Amino acid sequence: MENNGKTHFGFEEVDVQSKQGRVADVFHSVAAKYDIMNDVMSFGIHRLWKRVTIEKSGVRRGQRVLDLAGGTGDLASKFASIVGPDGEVILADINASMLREGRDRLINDGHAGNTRYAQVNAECLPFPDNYFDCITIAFGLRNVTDKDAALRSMYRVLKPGGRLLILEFSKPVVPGLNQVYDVYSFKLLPMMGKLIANDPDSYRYLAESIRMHPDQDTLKGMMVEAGFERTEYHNLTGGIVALHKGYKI
Amino acid sequence: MDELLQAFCATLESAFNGLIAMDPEAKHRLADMQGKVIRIRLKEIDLSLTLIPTSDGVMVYPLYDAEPDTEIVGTPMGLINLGLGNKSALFTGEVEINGDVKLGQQVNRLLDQLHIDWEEQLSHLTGDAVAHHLGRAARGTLQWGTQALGGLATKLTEYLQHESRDLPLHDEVEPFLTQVDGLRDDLARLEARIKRIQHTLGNEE
Ligand SMILES: C[S@@+](CC[C@H](N)C(=O)[O-])C[C@H]1O[C@@H](n2cnc3c(N)ncnc32)[C@H](O)[C@@H]1O
Repeated sequence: MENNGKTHFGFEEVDVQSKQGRVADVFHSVAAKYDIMNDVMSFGIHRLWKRVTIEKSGVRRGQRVLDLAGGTGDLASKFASIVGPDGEVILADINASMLREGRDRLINDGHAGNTRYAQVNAECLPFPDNYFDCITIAFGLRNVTDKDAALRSMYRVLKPGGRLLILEFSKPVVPGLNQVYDVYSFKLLPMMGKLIANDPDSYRYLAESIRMHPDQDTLKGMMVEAGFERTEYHNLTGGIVALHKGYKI
Repeated sequence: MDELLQAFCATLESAFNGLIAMDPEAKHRLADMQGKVIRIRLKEIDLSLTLIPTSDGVMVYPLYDAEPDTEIVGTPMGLINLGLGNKSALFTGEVEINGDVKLGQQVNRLLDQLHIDWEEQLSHLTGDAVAHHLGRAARGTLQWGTQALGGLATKLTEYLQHESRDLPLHDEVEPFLTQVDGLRDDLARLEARIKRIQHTLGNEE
């Protein structure tokens, strides 16, 4: 997919090395207002998408979960209250500001003892082989430069029987929705970004990165390529978002 | 739609947690069952729910993707009992427990004691189901897309008020909504234009 060391930063092509820096800038600049923006941007529906993700994760007491690109910890917080004292949740993100917001939030929610925090790059996870029962990455994969490397890395640290869940924007499958969605994401989203986070560029980047992200079947293929089995996906809200799931067997 | 079923479960979850918060005894007992997967299946109306007790209440999902620790199967008060004034019991008559029987009994007792207003809760589900079918019938048109966005937004406001602590203030949101309305009008015009163009093209061929 990538050639001459160029990669997509939204629609602009940028050097691979600089993408990580620019993604980091985007999330530094939105970290503090991130949760509010999420609610407004998606009319709150992201909460329901995340519920579906928890539901499909099947995480239970005593398990070890990695919430990768976990940001402000929406999923991590729920997992921490499920796995209990004999389980463990690791909130991991490449961005220190996001991770700090996430840690504050989890502590605020009353979680301590079964939570850890790690500043990591999804492409080369610093965890042992066969370590996690479940990995989730919600609205994170599209920001990762080398997605194939990231998928391989996630595969490596999953236990046999463990599963990966990818919640990500995808390609709308309901006729007509595409047009609505284009207007929404290219006009309305940056405008809301300006009003709430005072940062239209970051939200324009989000809209563009959504458009560049692989569609449902392409991502499924990439998971298979990385070694995942029993892969499947589930369209949500007409395919605006898809939840992919795969197992390491 | 998954989203509506999830919204229903979220509402139910809030109702549960509201009651649990007022009952320290229940909260304490739930903590013992933290992270266990409890499936509740209502015969006849073919409705399953999964409860997961947590450190501070309970989560409710339609069908949690894990082998349940215990499954409680019963005849729902649902359609039979509605209107008979017996709103607090989830089950009527015999209850069957599979898997971890002790856990199942604990849950059953807890459900009985919580006095959930099931009639009220089920009314949300029916409303959603209707919305779902209406949505389905009209699906495929741009018009549906825009209406569904609006409808969902209204429904979700209610849900978010339950769940959220940090929703933006009404004043912050109001200008957006006005702009969303504007956008919706623009879309309607756009749609009309697309139709006209399609029509013209159709005539030329
Ligand atoms: C849109 S946020 C999603 C946060 C959270 N998962 C949620 O759903 O609300 C994307 C997150 O991905 C992180 N991220 C971007 N590239 C990453 C990488 N290569 N490795 C790990 N995290 C990354 C960002 O710092 C940001 O916090």
